[in-house]
Amino acid sequence: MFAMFEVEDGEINVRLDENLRALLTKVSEELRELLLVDEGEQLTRLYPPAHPDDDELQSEFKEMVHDQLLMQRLDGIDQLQQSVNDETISVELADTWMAIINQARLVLGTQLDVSEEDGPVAEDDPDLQGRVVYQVLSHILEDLTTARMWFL
Amino acid sequence: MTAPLEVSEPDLDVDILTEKDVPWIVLVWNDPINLMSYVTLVFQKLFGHSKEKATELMLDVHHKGRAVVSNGTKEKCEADVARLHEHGLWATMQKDD
Repeated sequence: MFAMFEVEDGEINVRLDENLRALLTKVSEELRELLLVDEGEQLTRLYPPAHPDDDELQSEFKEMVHDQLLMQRLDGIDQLQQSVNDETISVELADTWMAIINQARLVLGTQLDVSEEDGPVAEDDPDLQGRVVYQVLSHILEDLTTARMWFL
Repeated sequence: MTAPLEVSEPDLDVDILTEKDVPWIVLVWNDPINLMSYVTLVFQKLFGHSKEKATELMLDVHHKGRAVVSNGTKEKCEADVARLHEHGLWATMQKDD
């Protein structure tokens, strides 16, 4: 199968077509909007509780890490959008791309209530478009993960 | 033989000693969204595991529902959980009772 990412000379060649690059821009922008306005159910998987059984410790943990995590994510979205049309990306940028793509998958997967038992997407699925986007993002992430492993 | 000395119990704050001495553990939980390959990569990257060890941990998470991925002081575990959350993994921490 056609590889979307190839390792060469210490960098990663990006073989995404313009539609997939546009998709990454779109979903990352939607992620930014959610991060800035929403702390509800959709973001549950981005901020899981570290101390689910202790409200006091969880409150301390959230105060310690939440804002830093948010800033990292917003900065990561900026970096992805600035490099989305590049022909090659560094390992560091690949890590940023993977983090943002996975965050988008976590939000979308939560919205779609995906499960490990989900089969192929049915053509009459009312969430067809969202499920297709989810699968495309999964495929991009899988390929990028494979490329990134060469650098470990 | 000399009679044993009567020694009174030291007045220690047991709770404080226990609190300091008990190590914490970090757990990663299975979820239907994170890719198995991605989770393996994160374990390799964050904890310096070999691919074999990282894969073993990932499979523990996948098949058993959760796995202990690190331990240590509360501060170390909080840092590990924060890094795992940064990568999108579902991590929690608790005292290793």
